Amino acid sequence: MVILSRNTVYSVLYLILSFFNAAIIFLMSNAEFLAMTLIIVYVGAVAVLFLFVVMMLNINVVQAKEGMLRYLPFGLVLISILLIELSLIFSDLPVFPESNTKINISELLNNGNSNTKAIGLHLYTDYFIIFQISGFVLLVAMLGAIVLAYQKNENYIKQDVSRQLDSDRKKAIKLNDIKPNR
Amino acid sequence: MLFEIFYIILKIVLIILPLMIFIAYLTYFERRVIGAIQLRKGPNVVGPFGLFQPLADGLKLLTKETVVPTNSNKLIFLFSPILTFTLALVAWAVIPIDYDIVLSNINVGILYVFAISSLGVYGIIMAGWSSNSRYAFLGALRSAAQMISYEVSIGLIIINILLTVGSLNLTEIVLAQKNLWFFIPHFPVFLIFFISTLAETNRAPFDLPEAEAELVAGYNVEYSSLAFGLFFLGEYGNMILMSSLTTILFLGGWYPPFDYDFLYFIPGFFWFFLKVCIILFLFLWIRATLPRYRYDQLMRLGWKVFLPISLLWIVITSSYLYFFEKF
Amino acid sequence: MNILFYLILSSIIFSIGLLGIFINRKNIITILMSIELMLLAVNINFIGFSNHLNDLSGQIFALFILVVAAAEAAVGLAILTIFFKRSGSISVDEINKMRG
Repeated sequence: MVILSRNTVYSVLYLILSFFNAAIIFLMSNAEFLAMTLIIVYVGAVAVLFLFVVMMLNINVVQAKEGMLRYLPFGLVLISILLIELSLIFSDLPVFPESNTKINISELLNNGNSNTKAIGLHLYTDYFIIFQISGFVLLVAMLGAIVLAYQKNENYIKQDVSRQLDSDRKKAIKLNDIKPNR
Repeated sequence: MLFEIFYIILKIVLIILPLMIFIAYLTYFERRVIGAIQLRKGPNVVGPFGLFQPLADGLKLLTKETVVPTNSNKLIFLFSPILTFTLALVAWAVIPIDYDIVLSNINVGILYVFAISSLGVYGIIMAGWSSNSRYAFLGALRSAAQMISYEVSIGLIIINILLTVGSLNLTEIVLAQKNLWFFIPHFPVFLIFFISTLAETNRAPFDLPEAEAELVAGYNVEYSSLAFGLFFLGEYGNMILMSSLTTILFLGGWYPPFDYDFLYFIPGFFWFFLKVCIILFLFLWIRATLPRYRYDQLMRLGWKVFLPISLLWIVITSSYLYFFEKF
Repeated sequence: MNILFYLILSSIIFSIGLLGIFINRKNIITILMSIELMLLAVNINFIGFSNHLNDLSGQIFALFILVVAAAEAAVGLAILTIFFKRSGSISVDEINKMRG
């Protein structure tokens, strides 16, 4: 539905729905912290961004959809090949040895840690550098988005708080000595 | 099995029913308080002291016709009030009213509440978009931008609390406040949190999404009858939810104000209720006295004042904990 | 839950995302959304294996994917709005003009 909807707003709403369902699947597979993060980050922030852009840009719906049929057969063929290959892989899935586990969840949970605490314990120790790098990725993304979207507009009046607070009676009122009868 | 399901449903009803009555009487309370502040009487005709006014209002809304505007997006139009109202109720599943009186005591309780409140944007933005009306759309865009901006500072403030408690569980957060309520050590962020909840629930002085003077009524112009009623209930439900969250995070949940034994004879949920009522009274008081913010001022306050202060407070909290406490 | 369910679900979601990229030649927003969908599929895979192997690393990596996806969405949408302001459309064919 995300890709087939005629209206882009619908696609965003379906995207939200699928994220929400994914969060519930995460909850069911004992990843409660990640489920909540998924809802907060994706549904709460990213999808709202999408919705904002879609609503603000107000795209011509008819024009946006033309040419869809042209690529559909090619896409379908490619996707079916991919799906068949994936199912071939799944059909003789090797049995994963449990002993290879690097960070054992049940061991962590038995020591009285919650899921969140367990993630934190390993995120800040074993994966510290990756964690820092991901922070930098976010910083760069933030700066990039601001630089791209910011444009100085001379036409509108901006409130300068420090100037407003700085002004007092002497600056605001100018006393002119007007002599009458002249 | 069947009995368990029945038990859970009973618990849900026991939480939701008082909540609905509370919401209804909050509207009555609001009109009385604002009336008193503005030297008016407020509703006083229906029943003794006008106590049946909320019921009369509800009946009036029920009997009106639901108007769906032409060219509106019917499905989304009707779905968004339901979503708003449901989200206002769903978050109550993790709010502990007294020790162990909570529907589900999950480990990520506060993240859950935060996630639910971040979903609240959708009800409004969908309502505004599907109404096919300029005013509603503008109101919805404003509201969404405002809620997201203030959610950032709320999230950062919540991190402070988490750092001091060391748990995401709401019950444990309250238990950690037995000796010292968090609003004393965290006083600056307590103020910021309170103001942010005002903005998050779209209350005055941040009720720009429904500014009557400029946007007629914001995102719910086109709504009538029960759909409007659901929005209304959702907004007041969110108010109560946010004030109980403030109570849990900063005002020591169900603990009495002083650590004397005789105060513990009064059941905990009474203290909880009292604190929530005090915060709600503050909400109403602010609404009755303060003028509305301008939109650019609102955004400046959110991003340039609250965000840096709450970030700074995280640094202060974590360095304090690092140097003086257990770590 | 069986690991196979996770794998099937994630491969279906991934294929839907890929198909979305193919059939929407006129709408970059949908393409961005398809990419988000594919990242979600990867996340489901990670979580599924984390649950199956009883290993926490999967959840941590899923967290990093979340970070990357959020960053990508922010930058992508910023570019998109700028592009829309310049050219008045969001079709993929027009973006060729960005070539230096």
